[in-house]
Amino acid sequence: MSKALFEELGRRGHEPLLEKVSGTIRFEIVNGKQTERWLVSIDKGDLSVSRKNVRADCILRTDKAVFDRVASGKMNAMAATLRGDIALEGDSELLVPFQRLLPGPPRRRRRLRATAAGRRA
Amino acid sequence: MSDDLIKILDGNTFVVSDTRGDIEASLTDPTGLFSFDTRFLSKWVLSVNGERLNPLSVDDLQYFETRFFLVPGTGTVYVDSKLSVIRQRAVGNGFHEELTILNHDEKPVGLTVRVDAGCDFADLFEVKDALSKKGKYANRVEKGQLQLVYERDKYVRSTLISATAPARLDKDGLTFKIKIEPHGTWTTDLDVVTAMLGYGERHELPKFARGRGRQNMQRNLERWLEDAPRLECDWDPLKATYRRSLVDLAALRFTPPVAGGRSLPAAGLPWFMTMFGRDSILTSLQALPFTPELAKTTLLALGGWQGSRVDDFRDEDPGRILHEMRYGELTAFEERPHSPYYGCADATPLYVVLLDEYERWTGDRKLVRSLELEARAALNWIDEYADLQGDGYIWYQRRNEETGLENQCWKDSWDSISYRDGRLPGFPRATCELQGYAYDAKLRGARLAREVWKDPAFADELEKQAAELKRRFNRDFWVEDDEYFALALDTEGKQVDALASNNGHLLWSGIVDKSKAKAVVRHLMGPKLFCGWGVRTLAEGEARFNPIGYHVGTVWPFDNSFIAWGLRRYGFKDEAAQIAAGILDAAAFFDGRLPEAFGGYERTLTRYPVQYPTACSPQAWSTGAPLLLLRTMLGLEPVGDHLVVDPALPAGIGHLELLDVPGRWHRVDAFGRGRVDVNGKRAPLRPQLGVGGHA
Repeated sequence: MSKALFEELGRRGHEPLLEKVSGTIRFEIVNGKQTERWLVSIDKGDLSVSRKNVRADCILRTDKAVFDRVASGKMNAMAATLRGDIALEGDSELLVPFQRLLPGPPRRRRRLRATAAGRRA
Repeated sequence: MSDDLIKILDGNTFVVSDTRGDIEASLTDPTGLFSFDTRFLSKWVLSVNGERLNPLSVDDLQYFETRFFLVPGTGTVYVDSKLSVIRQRAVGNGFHEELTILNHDEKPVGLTVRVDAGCDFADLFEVKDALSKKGKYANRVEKGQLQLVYERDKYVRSTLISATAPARLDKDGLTFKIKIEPHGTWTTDLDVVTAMLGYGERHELPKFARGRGRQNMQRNLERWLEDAPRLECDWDPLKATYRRSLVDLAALRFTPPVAGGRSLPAAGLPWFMTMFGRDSILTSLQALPFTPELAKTTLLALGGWQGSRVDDFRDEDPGRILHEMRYGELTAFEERPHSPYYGCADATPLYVVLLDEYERWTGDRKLVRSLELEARAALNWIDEYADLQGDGYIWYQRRNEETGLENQCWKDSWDSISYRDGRLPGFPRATCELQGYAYDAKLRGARLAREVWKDPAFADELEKQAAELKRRFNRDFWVEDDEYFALALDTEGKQVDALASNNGHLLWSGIVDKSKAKAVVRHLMGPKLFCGWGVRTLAEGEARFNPIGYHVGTVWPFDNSFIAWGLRRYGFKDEAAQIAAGILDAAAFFDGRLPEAFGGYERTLTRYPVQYPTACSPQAWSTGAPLLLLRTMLGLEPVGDHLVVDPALPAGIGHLELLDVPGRWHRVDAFGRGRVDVNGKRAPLRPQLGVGGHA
């Protein structure tokens, strides 16, 4: 899950939603005794991804099970951070734009007649 | 909150205690030390030789600092103590307390000083709704600190208490065995630090906002006051209200994530010390002529959090501006959706309104260019996501049916939107002011598109949509027989026909046909809506009218400030002055600090404004109301690179000057003179309170 997400981010190249953002985030994803590391750099919306283990503006550390749920949109990163399931060091503000790169949660059943009629998205 | 509580605050950290400085909170009352929506101290009781203390006086030094003068013993008429106790407390990252005991006797004295401490770590939502806790408490004494700890899975919140003087610590407090020489003094510093601990380790979680340090805060406040325009006026209560507003606005500043360390106004003490889309935007609008940087931060922070996906639990859509951000336990465990919650139908169009108004005042096109994407997404939300009925209006209906908000307009209590006969409409609902905001957002978006984003085709399209919306709105919402705009439309397109203050917001947005304005004003200033202090939220005579009903009869100062702005927009200067006079008279009764709302009783009946029982105070948009009223009284309006001044003062204000108004003109002065009667005599100064108030 994590590999697929980071590779997708690397391919995305430019993300207009992040044009006001510059910074680097190192992800430390803990799976038992192993720790997987990814470095995501954002330069005014230009994304690049590597596995370099270098200094980053923000370090995000979490269990693989948590990360997979966040990456698929099933878990909200902000709530997970408040809960202590995700630890942030450094410039924690970078969490907010990063979350915008992730997919939304799976939709619930649609039941509102009027809502369904009006929604064109 | 009762008035005999002492409150100090800084951003979203605040302390509420009794007049002795003690805290003994039950689950349901909002006393204690709070930070990030969590109570970090629910017990903090000082005793000397086993006796509680008696308050002599309290000095409110600054909004973040207070001093309690105490003597031992309670319940007696005469106080003849050989001891004085002083507690000086400043809020920061937690709080700092300097405890001093003076011995006035000629003999030395031995004392046992005790501070009992404890905490329930309640989420503010739990305090509001009386819910119980799911985690475990673990208090311990470690490294010379008393640590109060709460844990639920990996969620850890703790309060670290330490003293500079030697103390014996136990799990429930600190004991000092001391001896004070004749006419001597003993003192200790007490530090209470709040900590949010994270995943697997013991470092602190997001350093979203830290205490700013007492001296820094003092300097910062002085600079804040110096930077604001200076007010000169021959009516002293207005000067006091103005200063109070500026200081309270400083106190409510809060530095949320994604604001580059800058601050925006939190909504209000005690329940709303966090970022709200609507409150932050409306307060920034009110304060634009005084402190334009608040608007800039609000635009950046809300833009950074703008919705980007569809999330039913949070009622999030792409382009939607958030309603409310919370950091407490219930939010962390997703028992509440506030991380953040987006269920609000007005903040998104108002975001575009603020962006345009900000540019008109400051000329800061750089910001407008950098927020083009956000503004376009907000405009897109109006058409693509808010039009739930597919008929070109903004509708709202929550998708989170358990913990989402039913009413997503500013009158968000359950019974606020009703027919005249008291029935409540089904969902979705289209309240009238939302359509006004959408109209205004489209026209202002068009101006920005044409002048800043250089996209005339988009501007034309927005103007066409706005004209069409105005035409339909004046047909569909107009109550023909009584000549006012209905509060809302129901799902069948029928009018939800109660008469409410929302009509004033429609004037502000400009959506009202010129030919209808006079009738609307007649209602706003008529006896059913206008009570002498201001316009009631709901008109007397409607089935749900209640002069102390939260959104169904009380007077909201913020509401009135926008109504006054609307009256000015349509040329009703005297009526705008009359509202300014009523609200500012009320402010004088509250020592310059207008509460969130007060009772909509007839002014001649009560003679003084009756405070709504659980109103928040200070409240950001009530704090902003006198500022916007100063703007409307002076008729300040940016036109090109100039500030136009067109004053209309209430009777009794002889002169009003606002010096060094900041803006694209750099700084200019605005002057207003009161009316002079035919004999050339000056109108009398504003009469004492409770009398008059008419233009």
